[in-house]
Amino acid sequence: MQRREFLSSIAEPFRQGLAVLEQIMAGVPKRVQAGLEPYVPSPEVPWDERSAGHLLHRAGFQFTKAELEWALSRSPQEVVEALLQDLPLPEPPGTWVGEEPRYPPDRVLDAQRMAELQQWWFRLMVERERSLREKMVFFWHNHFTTDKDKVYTPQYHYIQNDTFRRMVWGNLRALTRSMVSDPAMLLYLDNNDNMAGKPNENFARELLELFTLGVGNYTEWDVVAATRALTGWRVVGLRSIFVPQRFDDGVKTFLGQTGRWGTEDVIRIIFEQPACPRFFARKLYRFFVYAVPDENIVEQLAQALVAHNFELKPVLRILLGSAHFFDPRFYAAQIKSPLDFIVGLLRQLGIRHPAAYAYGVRAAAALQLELFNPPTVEGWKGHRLWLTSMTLPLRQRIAEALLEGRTVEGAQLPFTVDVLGFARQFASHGQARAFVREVARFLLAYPIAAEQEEWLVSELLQGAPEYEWSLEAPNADVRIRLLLKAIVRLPEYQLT
Amino acid sequence: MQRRHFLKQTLKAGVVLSALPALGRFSAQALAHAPALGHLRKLTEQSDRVFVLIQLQGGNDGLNTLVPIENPLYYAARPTIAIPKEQTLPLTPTLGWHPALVGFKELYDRGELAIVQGVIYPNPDRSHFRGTDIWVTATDADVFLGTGWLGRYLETLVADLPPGEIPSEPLAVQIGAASSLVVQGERGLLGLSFRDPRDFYRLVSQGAEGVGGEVPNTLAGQELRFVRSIAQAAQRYAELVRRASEQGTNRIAYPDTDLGQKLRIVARLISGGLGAKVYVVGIERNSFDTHAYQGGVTGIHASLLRELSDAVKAFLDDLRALGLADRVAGMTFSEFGRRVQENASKGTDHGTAAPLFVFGGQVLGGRLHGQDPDLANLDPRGDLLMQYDYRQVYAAALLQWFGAPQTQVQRILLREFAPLPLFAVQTWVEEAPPEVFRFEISPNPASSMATLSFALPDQASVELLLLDLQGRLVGNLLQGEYPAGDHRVSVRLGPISSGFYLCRLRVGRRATTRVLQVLR
Repeated sequence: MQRREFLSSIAEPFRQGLAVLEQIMAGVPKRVQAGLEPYVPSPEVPWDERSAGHLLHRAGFQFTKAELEWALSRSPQEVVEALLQDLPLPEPPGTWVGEEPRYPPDRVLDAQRMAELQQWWFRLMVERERSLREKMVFFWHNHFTTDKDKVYTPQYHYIQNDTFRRMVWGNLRALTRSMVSDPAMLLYLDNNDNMAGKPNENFARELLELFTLGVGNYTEWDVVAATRALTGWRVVGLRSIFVPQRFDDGVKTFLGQTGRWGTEDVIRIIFEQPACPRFFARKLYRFFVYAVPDENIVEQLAQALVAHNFELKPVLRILLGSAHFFDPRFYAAQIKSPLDFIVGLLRQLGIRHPAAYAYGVRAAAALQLELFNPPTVEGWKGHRLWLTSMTLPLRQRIAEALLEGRTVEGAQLPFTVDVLGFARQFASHGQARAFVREVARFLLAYPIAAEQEEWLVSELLQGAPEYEWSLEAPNADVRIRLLLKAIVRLPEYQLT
Repeated sequence: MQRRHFLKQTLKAGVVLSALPALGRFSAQALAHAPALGHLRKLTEQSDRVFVLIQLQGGNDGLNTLVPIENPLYYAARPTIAIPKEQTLPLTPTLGWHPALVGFKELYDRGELAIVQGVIYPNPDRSHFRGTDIWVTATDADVFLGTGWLGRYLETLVADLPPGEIPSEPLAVQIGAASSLVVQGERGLLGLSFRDPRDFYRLVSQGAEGVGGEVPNTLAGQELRFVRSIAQAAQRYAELVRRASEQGTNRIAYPDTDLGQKLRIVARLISGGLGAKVYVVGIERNSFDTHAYQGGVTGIHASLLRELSDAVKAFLDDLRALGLADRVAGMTFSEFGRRVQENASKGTDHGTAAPLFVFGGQVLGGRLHGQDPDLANLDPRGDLLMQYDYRQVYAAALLQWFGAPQTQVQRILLREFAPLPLFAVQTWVEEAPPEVFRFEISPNPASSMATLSFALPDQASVELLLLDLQGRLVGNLLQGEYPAGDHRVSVRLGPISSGFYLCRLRVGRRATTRVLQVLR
């Protein structure tokens, strides 16, 4: 690998996990891998629960039984196409999204609206079915970061989130350009204060380092030049405006090109760099496929991005429909993010309730992912870093408590999990062993071992003979709950 | 306590083992051949010094931390955020402390804090993320490693542990949400991270089954193994953490800040006998990234400095009251300093060299290494030039504080760095016969309570530890400063099982041991 490529790959999220994984990978024998050609179901890689589940896991937040059946009744390409379908925009969380920010701000009101916004988005993640959209919006939130500590006006977060949704798989260049004048971004990275003669290089640096090129693909002097070229923007009310008097219209040399550059030129020049499509391709690969990018595939994805003039949808179509994506080596090889975990759990169990969304936002925050509040401008690094000696047991306790209709602190939630209804979705619900097997396959991306199956059967039966099992058996709900609690406690439940 | 010398003596002369008339089912002979001996021998190689790393995330502004009060270039470069000379606290004729650093000034004046000026590395990187990685992995600016410098050191302590097995005690503890690369070794993360020890125990103790067979070496299998290793470490260490947290204590109040509360927990766990050698805490969320409106005498940066200084001051005061001041040292670090010239937003952009602080009872404190920042000779970007490589501080910590051998330190830091004189070199505790302090325990055998008596020729810091026969800490019976004279103290032995224990009394740099039998 070129040092330059390596440098830029390092700058992306997952670097720490990556370093560890690369050490592991060094010991794994290489084999011929599937490429970006379309996936065609075969006896080796059939279109079944595992492969369809893999697509739904990566393109959404786990899946409901109905979604799985929907996917299995179509071809993989039809499912990918449906997941990428443009959808009408959701109703905003309230009319307040159009209110001018108040000065001085009303902190109590802002905090309340911020919570509404978090729950509004969380609800979309749970309720939006058969669509990649909300997961992709999260991808952008984690890429073009903004946090609610520094940008405390909820309207700005709504506007940015809405932009992500409108441009979700549109043009990358256009999305990046729109972020330059996005009010939340202008405030978050101080470009609002960057003006001719008084540079503030916060935004320019992160634009190059974290948003488009990666470390090693620009110099300190490019940061200086971009900072000057990106002057002139101001947030006014809910919008931003360009103030020519604040713009530094002098000559700058940016990434080897010299001129009186401004915002449009910076974006144009960045997107002419070969490092730019590679940077996005690598990040998409890590998000959808695996933490350690296959550089050969990354290169092909980068070429596809250029060939499609940075339109994202056709490239997502290629990636998610490819033989490479469906290579069974990648099944269950990601660690769930707190959203995969908690949104996924609610969806798997069929829980839809406003109180569940409010609690879900809080639970995800306890697991180190609070929406609209990434830890740094680099966003959440994710993968292995999600799990620590604290967050893993916390996930287990949250899942168990939820199955009992309680918060992790023990408070009663105003809804219960209909475990009998859950069980009836499975054709095998009358036969203990087959039922356990089917439920485990539905809830877990990683196949369980024979001794685990034994243990799960015993959790369900609690000493009763297998032939006595039925949903009408006394305490069947209690037993199913024990089974489900045992499954969500498994280390395997953390994989997706 | 210095276990090393004590246990070396023990092993060499069999002092303690041969003094035991009977060890229940084990004879002293059998014990000497037990697998536990390997562990015991290992302990003798280690010191029980603890190192606390405080990360200031975001890039601390060094020039507004230690203010060059006589330098007109400083005041010219910072028209709105400079600290006026008369507002600073006196440090040297040309340098003043930021007024929020009252605690640091006091620690410096009493010799428990040292300053190193101008710390960075050649070709500094101005990216937060790359900069932080360079600091935690201890590499040159163009070298990429997946392990941290403390991870590589800690790994030398468990070199003969079979792969896949985890140490009997957590080697490192991070108080906070995330896991830092700094304690990552080839074996993986060498420690725990939690925010609150009680929450941690409550979460883990509610049960988790570790069922599951062999894991294949597939991509998913590797992830599963990772998840299981975390579950296993949490299970294994939860009880140790709970015990340390319950047996530990704090003797003074800490400021009610994020860092203050984190350091309070660290002191509590150390005093409770948790065996971790390294604690990692920080002011997180890139807080020091003061691009806009950072303030001067007051404001964002001032309150961050106050949080840091007040918390470290409370921590060292507490350690002194606990009799632990000489066992604990630490340092601050931040990925870079900030630009000399303030920017348009009354803040500062990413810069390079900056001061860092080393603190602790055995730190060669009250010293300032390096010159005042040279504001007339900047790099082409307008940033300060390096005076010391950050690895000169790491080398000092490894060589002087942990007593690691020179060749090992070179391996850990990838090459040789001249250490700065920052820490008093480890001197082992001298083993004394019990008669010297007229040290007695009664009754012996004891059941739940025992009375300790000892005599001190002078005032001294005293510690009484209960160890099992493998030299592992079971409890901390006594800790603190005691005046000269005779002392009798009743102690509760806590929930320990019947058997033989070692009671080790440490008085300053001398220590003595008696065997205690517990019958329940």
